[in-house]
Amino acid sequence: MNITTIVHIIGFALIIIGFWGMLTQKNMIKIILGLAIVETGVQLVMVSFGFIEGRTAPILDSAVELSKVSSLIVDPVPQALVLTAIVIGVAVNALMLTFVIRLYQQKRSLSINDYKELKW
Amino acid sequence: MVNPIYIVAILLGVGFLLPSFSKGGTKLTGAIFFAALISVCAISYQWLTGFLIGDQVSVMIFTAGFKPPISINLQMGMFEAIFTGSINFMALFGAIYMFRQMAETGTRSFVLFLLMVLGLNGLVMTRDIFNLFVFLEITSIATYSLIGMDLKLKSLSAGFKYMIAGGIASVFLLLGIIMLYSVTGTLNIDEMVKIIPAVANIKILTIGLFLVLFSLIIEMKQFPSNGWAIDAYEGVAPGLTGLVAAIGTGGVFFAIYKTFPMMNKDLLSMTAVIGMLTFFVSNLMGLKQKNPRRILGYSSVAQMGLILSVGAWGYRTGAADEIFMLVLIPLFINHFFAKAGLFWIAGIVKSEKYKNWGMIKNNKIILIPFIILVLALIGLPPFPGFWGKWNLVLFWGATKNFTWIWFLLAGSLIEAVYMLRWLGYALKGEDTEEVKFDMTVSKNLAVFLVTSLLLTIAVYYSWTNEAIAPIYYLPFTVGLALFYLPFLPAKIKGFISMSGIAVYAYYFLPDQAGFNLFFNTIFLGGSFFLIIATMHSKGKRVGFFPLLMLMIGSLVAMVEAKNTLQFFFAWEIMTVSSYFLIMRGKKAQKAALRYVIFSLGGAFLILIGFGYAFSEMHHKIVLPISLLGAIEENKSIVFILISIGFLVKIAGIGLHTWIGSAYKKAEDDTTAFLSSILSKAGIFGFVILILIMGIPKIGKIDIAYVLGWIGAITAISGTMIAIFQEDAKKLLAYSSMGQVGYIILAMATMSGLGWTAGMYQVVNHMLIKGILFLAIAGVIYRTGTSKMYKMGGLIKKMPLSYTAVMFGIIAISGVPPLTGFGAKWLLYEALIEKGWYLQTGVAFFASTVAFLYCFRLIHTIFLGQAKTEFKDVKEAPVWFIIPQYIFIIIIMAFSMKPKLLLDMITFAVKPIFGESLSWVGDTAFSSLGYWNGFVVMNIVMVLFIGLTVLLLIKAPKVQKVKQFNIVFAGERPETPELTHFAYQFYKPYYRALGFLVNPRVKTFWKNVSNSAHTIGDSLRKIYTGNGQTYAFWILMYGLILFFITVGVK
Repeated sequence: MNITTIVHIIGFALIIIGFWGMLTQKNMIKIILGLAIVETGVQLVMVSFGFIEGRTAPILDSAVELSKVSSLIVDPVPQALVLTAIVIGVAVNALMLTFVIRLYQQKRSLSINDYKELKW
Repeated sequence: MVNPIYIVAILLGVGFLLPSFSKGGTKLTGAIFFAALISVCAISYQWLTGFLIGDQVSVMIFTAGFKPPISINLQMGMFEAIFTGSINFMALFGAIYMFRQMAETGTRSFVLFLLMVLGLNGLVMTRDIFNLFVFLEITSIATYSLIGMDLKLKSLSAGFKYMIAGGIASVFLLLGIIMLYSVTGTLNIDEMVKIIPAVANIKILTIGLFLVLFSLIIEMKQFPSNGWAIDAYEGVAPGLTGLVAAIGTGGVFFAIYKTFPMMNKDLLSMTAVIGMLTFFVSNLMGLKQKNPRRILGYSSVAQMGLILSVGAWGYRTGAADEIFMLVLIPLFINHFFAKAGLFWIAGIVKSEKYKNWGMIKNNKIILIPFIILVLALIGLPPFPGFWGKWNLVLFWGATKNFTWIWFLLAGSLIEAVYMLRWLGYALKGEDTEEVKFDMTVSKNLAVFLVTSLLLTIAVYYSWTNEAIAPIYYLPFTVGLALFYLPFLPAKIKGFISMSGIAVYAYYFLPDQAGFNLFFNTIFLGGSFFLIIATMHSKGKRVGFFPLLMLMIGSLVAMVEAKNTLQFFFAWEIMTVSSYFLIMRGKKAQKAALRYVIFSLGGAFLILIGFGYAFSEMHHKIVLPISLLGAIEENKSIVFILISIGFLVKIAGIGLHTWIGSAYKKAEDDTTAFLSSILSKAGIFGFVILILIMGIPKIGKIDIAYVLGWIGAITAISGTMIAIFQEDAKKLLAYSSMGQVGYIILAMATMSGLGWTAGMYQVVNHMLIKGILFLAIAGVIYRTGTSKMYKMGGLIKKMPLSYTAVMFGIIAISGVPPLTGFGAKWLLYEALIEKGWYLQTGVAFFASTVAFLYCFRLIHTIFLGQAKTEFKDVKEAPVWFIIPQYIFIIIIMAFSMKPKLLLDMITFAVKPIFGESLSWVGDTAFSSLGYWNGFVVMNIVMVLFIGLTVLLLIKAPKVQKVKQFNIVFAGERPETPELTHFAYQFYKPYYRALGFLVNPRVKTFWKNVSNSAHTIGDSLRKIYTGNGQTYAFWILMYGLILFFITVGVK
């Protein structure tokens, strides 16, 4: 089993764990944490897609010879994407937490079951 | 052209810099905010005009000085220009609407708003799939934050659910993108489209495609993964909801549309089915809604489903660009403006129950845009939705996707039900104190802008449609012009209407021939005289004359129609204008709704019929009506569908449940138009249909035979129901149904004599029902009631009306000497000639039974004891009397000289069926016998005069007794009225025959309606309101779809 597969498995496992948490936990903060775990899993999967066995990080310093750069480093694109995804994920999670705070201020409850005014 | 990158630059730049101006106060930041939006609109406008009017070609904009795949590129083509243009203009209107709200929360809201618009513009323009993700997230985060600005509990909890769904969607999108990247090695959408077909069927690619698609399907709020969206539509402040419903989903749709070229056929089919399912089911669930915003939520979701379905379908069949321009753009624009406008109106009228919307009927500033937007949303002409749906039926018909047409129109009909029910409450609902209006200028300005822009686009679509020449709109001009003259008194408006009809008739009738001339003469001539009665009003009757003239205009336009589109356009205008006319009656809300739903249902069946017809024609040609005859494969189904549409209009048996209440609840003089003029529209439809297509046979079943029986049963049923009515107008309504039944029966014989009989009856019925309804209108005008048993003894008070009714019932019952006799004589001859003896018997029986209700009109209203409360009533106003007597003169003329009328009819019938009547002097000879109207008239007159003279001679001298001076068998009744037995007059007959008139049909339709409501009600229960359940639905739906499309292979 190579390292890519292992990371893949871990990533997907995290996604499933996260979704499980989102669907089973009633506490809204835990639901957000579930989403965060899913996001982490996705990020791992993304990085692992760019990984190539035996290559180094895509940082152009003394360790990498500039003329052979394309054969020495792993694919930098997924790493760039992951950075963006992390930033966005953090922003969304933070925003969700502010919603939870506001909701808590109104009803003094963190259970998602208590916010069913709108339905059908 | 300004580089579209400036759209991004301006929004982003101003967004980031704005907080640094916040010390200058909201006035300063607000000004900068609007300046940014306006300049973005200006750029969009330039591109829009460049593409639509000029010959601009689509351009690519490269960022960072590199070409893709290294850099991100944006595209500005025709489609992008239309979408960004709509988004930016709508954003400006939205900003106007929300200005006060946003100003309260300060500069932050402005920044978020600009970022949301930026995200949407980027979503439309970018050609990089990861960039697409980024713009989607920018839009989402900005939208969430704007939702969070409103601290109401509903808004917050809806926002939280929205974020959970959005979070799951973005996770899938990311996963999908990375999988696509790992296979194709690029993030550029155009590169991917090139590479993907070349790559072998790798599992990871298919999964990646599925994930991207599914993520965007969640963002498109498709059933059943959309509970969060509907909650958000209900809970979030309407200003923002309107924007999310319009520009939010618009941007997301464009994003998903961009990914379609990558998708394989399975995924596209799946998307098309998901969209259509959402359209249908969401409308069904909408039926049970009471909260205006939630109604709009369901409707929004449904519309997006339709648009998604059509987009996927377009790529599936390879006609993407054509469908985009002809179907998607009109559907999208329609939804876009109508939905935003309606949400905003729902924000102005502060009521969570649509039943309370009766308050807005006195507020024209809200009511008029509301009416316009509702009509647009339903897809009635001339709004873009109409053209979109028409083109869609054309496409689907041409490619034989008939099931899709059925679903499309069934869904549309259900949507029409709940939207029109709401409109009904707005027009007629009771005033309630609790409803408050938010008459902020900026809010109403935004609604006004949206409505006017939509109207402008509607006019543009109508005017530029190649299948409709501008001359076609001529009959509508008087009606439209009258909308601008509400201040004139009714009499002047009536005069203008009559002049319009006269001028039109003078210029256009001489050029016409055959049935067109015949029906146009009836429509124009009949209306001309009936309008006199409408002038009795001393007031202005605001709105009445424009609608009336639109209805008459639509009838004329229908006769003039050269192709199916023109015909259908006129048919729909007729439906809408008559709906509003009926709605004018007091308490007409339910009756009008039932009428319009039946009419729209009929219209949609006609459209489906056209759809089947298109399958045999090339879809780019709008089918000329005459080409319907060239259909071979689907001939009988086309005929049947269109026939049912026409049968609705003439209240054929089974489809007649609307007629009693609609005729009763409409204003009294309007009913005369409905019965004597409008019911002939269905007959005209049949004439055209049968002339072009003939009456086909299915195997051994001759549809003509079936149609004949439908006519006969309609005749007998209408008559039977009429007998037991207590209300004069309802009595006449069912009588009308019965009388028109004879016409269908006569036409079904498909012989010269039969058609002569039918057309003769058309004229006869037009004249009689004109007289009777106007006479009754006069009586009701004076007595204030339409219940016959409340009247009585009016003969002395209203002798002229009495005489008119007398003429009317003699003519209707088919006894000599008046025109009714000719109609029946011709009918029986035609039926016997055809060998339809049983039908002859039924017709004869019906015609005899008709005496019973005719008698009631005379006996109950005019004879017997006068009621004390009516002892001072006067004769009906002269305005009612004049048209009645004009019609009586015409009837007399036609009775004395039937040749006058029969020559006109023969002129139309003869070229098709050959000679059926021959003439010697005034005597008409058919194959079975002869008839001389002049002699019959003279004989009857001699008999009558003779009998009268005999009576005068023989009768002892009469002693005049005053009406109340009576003694009954030595007993004096407590109240003299009791001696005039009128209530439940035919109760004995009812005991014997009542089972025949049990309202089975009504029960049937009621059950249909109830089941639809129940199904919708049970389905919507999946939206539990729990954010977690919604997440569960999304994941389950994703899994199921995954196994259907990807997993199996």
